[in-house]
Amino acid sequence: MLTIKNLVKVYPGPVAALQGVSLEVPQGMFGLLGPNGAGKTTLMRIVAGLLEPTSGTVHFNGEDIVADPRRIRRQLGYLPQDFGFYPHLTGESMLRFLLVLKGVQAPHGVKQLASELLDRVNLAYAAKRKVKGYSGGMRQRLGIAQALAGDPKLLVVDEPTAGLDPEERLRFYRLLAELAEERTVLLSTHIVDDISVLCPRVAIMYDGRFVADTTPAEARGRLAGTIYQGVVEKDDLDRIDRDYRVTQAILFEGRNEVRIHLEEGPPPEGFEAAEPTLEDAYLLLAQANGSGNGGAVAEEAGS
Amino acid sequence: MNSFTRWWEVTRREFLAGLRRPSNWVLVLIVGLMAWFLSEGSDTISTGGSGVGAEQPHITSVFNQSMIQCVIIMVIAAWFLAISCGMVVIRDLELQVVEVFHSTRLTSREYVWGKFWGAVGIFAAIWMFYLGLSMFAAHVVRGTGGSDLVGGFALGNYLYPTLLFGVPQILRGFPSCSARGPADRFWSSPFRWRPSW
Repeated sequence: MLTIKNLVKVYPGPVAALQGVSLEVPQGMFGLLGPNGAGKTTLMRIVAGLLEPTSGTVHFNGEDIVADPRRIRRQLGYLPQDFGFYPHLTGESMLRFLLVLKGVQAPHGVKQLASELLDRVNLAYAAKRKVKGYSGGMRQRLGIAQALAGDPKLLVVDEPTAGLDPEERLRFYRLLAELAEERTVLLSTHIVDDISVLCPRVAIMYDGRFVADTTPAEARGRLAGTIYQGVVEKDDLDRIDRDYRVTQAILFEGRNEVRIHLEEGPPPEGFEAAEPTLEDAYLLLAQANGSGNGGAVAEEAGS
Repeated sequence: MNSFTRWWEVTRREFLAGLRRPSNWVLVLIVGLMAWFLSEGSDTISTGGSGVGAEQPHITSVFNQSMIQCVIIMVIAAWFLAISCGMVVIRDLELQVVEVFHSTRLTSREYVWGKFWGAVGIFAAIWMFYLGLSMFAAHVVRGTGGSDLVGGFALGNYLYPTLLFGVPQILRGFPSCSARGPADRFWSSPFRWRPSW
């Protein structure tokens, strides 16, 4: 169990990246959703013991991460948002280097363990290739391999699917889901699909605060019967936007596919009831927190 | 895996990375050429109307080796040393490997000292090469020609200047460059070291 209490982080400026967040993360997959700059990475770095909070506590299985960050390293697998490797090393050499730094126990040797990890992330075929020749997805997989090393009890992954192609993304989903069966996985992302597919629970962050702690099913359920979808001409979009709460408007072949949130009254002509998605809930929260209105909708969608 | 193992791994990797760095090979070339041509004995040091050197067996003397090592380290190696040391941490920051490193059990102390000794190791290796080539050129190549400028071989003539002048200068320069490099970035690092000359 990962327990975060009243966490505050103020950077020089001052910029309040975290404004007293509290959260309990049980074993399994837990999603952290929010726009860029919401404070997700700051939170992840504090949980990983890489950043000291201004105040507040973080405990994992009873161990105080803030007081003694080194203790968590033995149980931690961490995939940062921005990371790199030595380009002149092969994937296998780089991984072996990191395995030594992690102090991973390898009964059959570090080389054997590195091979197994590369195989697990489907990178065995490129083990002897230099990292500088890796694609973005391959680097990401190498990052995942190092995070998995040592059978960590807490896996912290920050924007892990950025740069992955659809096939790799699906493979990564499967891998993360497997890992979450026996450990705590904290997944941070701004990609709603990642959360929808993987996470039984999700917390939504804005401006250093949690504005929702829910399940994707709950978030969708609260919007049941309030989401309508239709296609409108370009000229009509302004009118729809003015009269209704538009959650999404996608321009496709010169026409707008629009989804609106409507609690009462008839929908506009041509609009039909649609299944709510987590993206609807998230975007409503975004509107509520970004534009400063729609607080009631935010409460309905998230809490 | 204990602290020593992690430190050693960082040191080893930094040393191997240093072997691949073109600037270090340029330094090898420079000190190699200097070792070779200085062994000819055509160098003289003059002040006003007086001079030393010339027809004396001074090339292999401890005095000459001290002077040469001081000059080479101060004028030539310092430039490469400052850039190399100033860059060890910057390079990791730019490659964004530091975040992953610090999520492991590697401590800051192990990391910094590993980088330090890895970089020192490269210069130690280059210096060994310089000394070896100096001895070879002076005592084997020139010595066989019966030059009056080459004295008998004495290891101390090379060892003492290295320990008294070479090593202290390198050990003094590395920490300051390593520390100042990330703060000042690339170009100012050599000039930061200059006042300590």
